[in-house]
Amino acid sequence: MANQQKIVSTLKEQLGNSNDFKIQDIDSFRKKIVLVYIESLIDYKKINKDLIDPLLLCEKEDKYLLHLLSLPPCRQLKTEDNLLSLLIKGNLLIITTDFIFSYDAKKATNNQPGDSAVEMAVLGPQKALSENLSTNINLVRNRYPSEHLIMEQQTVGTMSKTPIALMYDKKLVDHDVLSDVKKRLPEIKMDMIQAIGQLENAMTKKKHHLFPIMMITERPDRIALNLSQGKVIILMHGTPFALIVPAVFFDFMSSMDDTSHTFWTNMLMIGIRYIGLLITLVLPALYIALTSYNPEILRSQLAATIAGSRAGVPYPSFFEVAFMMLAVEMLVESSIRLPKAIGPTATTVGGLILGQAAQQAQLVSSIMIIITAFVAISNFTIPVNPMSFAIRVARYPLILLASFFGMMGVVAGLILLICYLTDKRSFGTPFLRLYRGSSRRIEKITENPKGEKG
Amino acid sequence: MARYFYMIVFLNMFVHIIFNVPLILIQHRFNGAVTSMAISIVIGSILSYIFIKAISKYPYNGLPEIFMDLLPGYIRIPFLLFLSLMWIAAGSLAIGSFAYLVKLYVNPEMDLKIILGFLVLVLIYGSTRGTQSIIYKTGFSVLTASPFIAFIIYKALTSDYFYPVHIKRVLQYSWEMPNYSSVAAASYMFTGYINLVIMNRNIQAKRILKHFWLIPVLGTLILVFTYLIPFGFLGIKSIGDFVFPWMVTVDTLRMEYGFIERTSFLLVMIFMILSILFGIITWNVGLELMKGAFGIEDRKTGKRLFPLVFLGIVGFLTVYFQETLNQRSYFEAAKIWFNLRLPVEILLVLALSLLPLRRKQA
Repeated sequence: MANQQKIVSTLKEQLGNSNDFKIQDIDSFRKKIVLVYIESLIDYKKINKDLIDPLLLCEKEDKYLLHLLSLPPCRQLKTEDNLLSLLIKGNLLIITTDFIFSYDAKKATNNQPGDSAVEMAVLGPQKALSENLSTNINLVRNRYPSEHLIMEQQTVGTMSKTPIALMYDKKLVDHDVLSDVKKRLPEIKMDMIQAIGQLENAMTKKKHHLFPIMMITERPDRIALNLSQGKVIILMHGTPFALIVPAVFFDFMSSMDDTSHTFWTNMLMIGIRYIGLLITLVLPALYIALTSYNPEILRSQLAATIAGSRAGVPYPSFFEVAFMMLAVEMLVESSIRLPKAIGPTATTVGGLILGQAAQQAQLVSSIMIIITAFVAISNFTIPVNPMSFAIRVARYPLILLASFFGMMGVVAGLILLICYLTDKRSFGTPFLRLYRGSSRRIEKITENPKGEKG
Repeated sequence: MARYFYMIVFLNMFVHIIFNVPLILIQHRFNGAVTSMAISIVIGSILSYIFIKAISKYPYNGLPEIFMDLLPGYIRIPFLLFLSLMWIAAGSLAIGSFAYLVKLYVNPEMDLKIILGFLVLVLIYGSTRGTQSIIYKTGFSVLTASPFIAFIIYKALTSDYFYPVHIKRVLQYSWEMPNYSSVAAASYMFTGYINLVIMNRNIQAKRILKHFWLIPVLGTLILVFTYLIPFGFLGIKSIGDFVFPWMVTVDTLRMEYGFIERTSFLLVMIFMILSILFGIITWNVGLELMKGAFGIEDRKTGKRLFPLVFLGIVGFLTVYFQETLNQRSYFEAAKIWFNLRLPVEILLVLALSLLPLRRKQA
């Protein structure tokens, strides 16, 4: 009895006078049962059904204890268990005179999968992940009903203690990647980890890197597909996104819709994507090179048209491109986070007024306006968001090289980019390389998965 | 991975055709170029077969590792150093010629020093990457370039200015005694296989032998095409006046409906892709050989400074020589290198194939 009181009072002391910390005494079986919990974390309905109702029905204490132990989320605690952390994780403590039980009664929040908003698919599945870890694990298990699917739970973040789940198919997974991931996860020294992108950055060894080597996705179908390709999935509690490891360049160019189109439609879509990639990457640089350095490369009529439209522009093409790129980047950046009510204003002001007026004031040539629009649009054809951002950045070194070395600079810049990308490794997997076979089954497990030799 | 090997072989053939080989072969067009070519096809194929066969006995080993067993240190280290310098020189010569070509065709106002300096920086970045990454890059570059090459050859053959009669005329000078200089130059075409000294760490030589017939066939085709087509455009006499006969040839071609009208710019860009790739590969092989000679381990061990310093010096020397020598003497230097290369290559192939035998007997 004294023991029971002592535990309760220490807990009280540790948690202080937090208003949602509740202690409930129940007198039953001529003894005292104390329920200790944090109100805001607890699901009342569950407690009523599982704990309170049976308490009223049971005649004997033994029977009630048996009932408690038979509940799956309930377990008897040992002395070394940290009561406080259990409480904070959403457990309810049942303190009887002799035993302490913990009962997981966490209120499930945000456990409804929403519609996919970041990676849209026209014909593919429409639902994304939810913000609740167990719901997400449920979603993945439903889509990937294999007995080889392994789920391992851990926490990251010294303060946030965010629960994460590692999922992989134990038969297909690349074990080097898996052990690398498992090695890197405990090495993360960060207090608060709340977003999957944070985890991604913390897991990447190089501090200054441009291209993502892990893929963030919100689509359960993509997760299931990648599981079948032998990849490791990291789900995190509190975000509707999952991390896929490893990811290679061509993964970032694939959309989940690719599986639901007919062959030739598909070819066209993928073709457009790669053309878009090339255009958004090189067009501004090419404009500089072709107007300021090597107009003779173009056929004479075209060169004359460009020169004519640039006739009133008082400064070199480099500034022209810099201005317009700045404007369009600002437009994109501002329209991402603007509330929906103001959004259209920004695009009107930015797109129409700035573009039209800048051209009429002869600050930029009309061809530059076309190029700006083209570059911005083609950037959106890249289906996975982080890659499209990375490509946006990669454009600027090319612009710089073009303004120093002309055409030679553009080609050399592309060569350097390819060098950089082929030298990248995502957890040991080459980031960019040519391979034969289906683009969806990236790693054939029977072959040497790394492709580093042979 | 064997396909990457053939890509490198193809790349070598193509790069040499542009820069050096025609110069020497066309100089000797009246005294034995064709017979020299025929001989060099045989020599090149045999050498590469022996070499691939020999090196396939050491899967996943580069030359430094192989020589570690076979040769004592006082021969091994100087030999590897010498080979390394030969490789580096190949890359430097090619990039030097290319810089000159850029100056002629793309950036006439720019200082040659700046062009070459920039290209050398690109090479330094590229060649300090891992060999495996460079092999992946080879795939992209060759795949990008080859459709354009096919297009240009098609364009040339269907051009109105292409007179096959000149080719017939130059073929009348076929039956002349071959000479050493032409044989050395033409056999250089086939020398792509030699990069296996390092690439054998990543490419399985055994698989290459399955498609070995590609080497002589590809070599013959490219040699015949690239040597003969310019005659059809330029005539047998005046072709000797040009430094880059192929550039002038392609400059006669027009793409009537293209964004780019002059095909020569297309060719320059392809050259750029290929010659930078060639430079990257040769410098990487040279660097690895140098590391092997001094026993410097991978860059994982933190010795990243050595490649940068070494290639920095090499790059500086490249720019310096390009500056001091004029174009004629630059090509003379290239010729010396050519003539030196054939015996060295034969020596290397023989060493690799015969030394294990000696070991077995002992």
